[in-house]
Amino acid sequence: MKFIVSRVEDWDVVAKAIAEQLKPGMAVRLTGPLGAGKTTLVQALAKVLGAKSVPRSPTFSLMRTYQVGKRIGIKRLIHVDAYRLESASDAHALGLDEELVGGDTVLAVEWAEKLGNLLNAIPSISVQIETDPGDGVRRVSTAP
Amino acid sequence: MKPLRILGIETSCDETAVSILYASKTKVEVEQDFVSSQVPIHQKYGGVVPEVAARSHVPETVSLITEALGKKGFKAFDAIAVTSGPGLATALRVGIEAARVLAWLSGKPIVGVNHLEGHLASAWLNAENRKLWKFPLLALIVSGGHTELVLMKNFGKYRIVGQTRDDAAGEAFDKTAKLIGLPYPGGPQIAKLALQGDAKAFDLPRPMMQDPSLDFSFSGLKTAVRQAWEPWAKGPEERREQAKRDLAASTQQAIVDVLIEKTLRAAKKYKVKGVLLVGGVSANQLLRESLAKALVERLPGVAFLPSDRKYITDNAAMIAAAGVWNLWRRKKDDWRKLDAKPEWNL
Repeated sequence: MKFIVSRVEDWDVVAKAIAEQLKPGMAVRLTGPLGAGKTTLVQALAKVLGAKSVPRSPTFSLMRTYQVGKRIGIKRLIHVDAYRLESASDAHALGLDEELVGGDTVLAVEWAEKLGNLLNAIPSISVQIETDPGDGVRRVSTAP
Repeated sequence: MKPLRILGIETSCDETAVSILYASKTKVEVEQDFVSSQVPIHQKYGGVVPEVAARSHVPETVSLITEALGKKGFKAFDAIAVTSGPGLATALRVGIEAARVLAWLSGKPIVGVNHLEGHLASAWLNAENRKLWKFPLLALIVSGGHTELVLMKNFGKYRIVGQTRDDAAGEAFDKTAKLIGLPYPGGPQIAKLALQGDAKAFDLPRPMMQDPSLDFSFSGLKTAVRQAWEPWAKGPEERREQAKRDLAASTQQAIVDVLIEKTLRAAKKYKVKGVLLVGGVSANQLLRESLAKALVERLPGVAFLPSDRKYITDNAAMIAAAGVWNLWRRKKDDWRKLDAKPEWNL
């Protein structure tokens, strides 16, 4: 699917479309340059999934966990940011495999490309965000 | 408030740190203080290497504790304080496991400390600050991962009255620096370039400055800086370098303006007697000087209580100090039950 995001509210539309396809154990892989709106999209997604608090950037903490409850079977959203990671093997420190064991968790991963094939075994939705320096509009495409 | 010699251990993020602090009613002294900073590795890679950091916590924690205890062994301390959250679970557990083993073997009390309470306590390590320490206090915690305004009604009684809704202030420094091609860590680089730049050259937004809440938002600065930089990025070198200095100065000013405005507003609203400035970004000279000046001019009588520069980044002396605050209030943990709390709110 393709979306044009020109206002903050437009992210809610993208988030709803992603949430429709999201099942427990899945990952949302987000790619796009600094300031593209990856964290903003995760904030919208958390809202759609029923999180009580608004996600903040996990760049320094690497990951943050949110309790959610609006979609059947999804009880936790883990917001991961691979920005500070240098190689895919670094991500083992996050213990993501362990986090998914419970079967009630979804991941939203910023800078997912930095994790290499670490997410390959996890069913994913890929979200690519492109920025246009001229008009500030974001072009978003999602793929299963 | 009996005198205590407390062993502090911190492994919540990138740093491994161990400290021994002596505290009595009349004296507080950092006797041992070790931080094995990852920064040289980070600079080499142009980023942070968390997995290397997490893995190196293990040997570093062991060697720093061995160093701190010296020949005295368990006689070197009366109690243990360890950061138990918030932070990365795998990193936190390294310090916690070490602390639990020490508590079990030595039979001495242990307390799990909130990393943010540690930052608050970093200001208390300064003797001048302790003289002026009268509740209620307000603390501005600013670092790579945090931007919080904390109302302190007493030791152990805290309320977050404002915080960032997206990026932390330190993250805003690092990411805008990256956008204009500066090396890691971005904060000091921006501050250095800003010295030769014009802070009024670029009209950057002051996000949420007019918003009635005490929250912050720094995420939008990335887009603003990228758009401001775009026309210069491909321009002739000489003018580009001056534009870079001007943009650094303008970015720093935008971040500092918002931090100060909200801090002053909170200090006034809650009628505090002093304002703490703690966390890594408090190294920023413009922030330190502007906040001190703003307090004198706009809220005379409210004390300015910054932590010493050596205790602003993650360290274990501040964790030991927060441990003292807890133990003096008879708050301690059972070593059998102490575990990491990655999402622990203050």
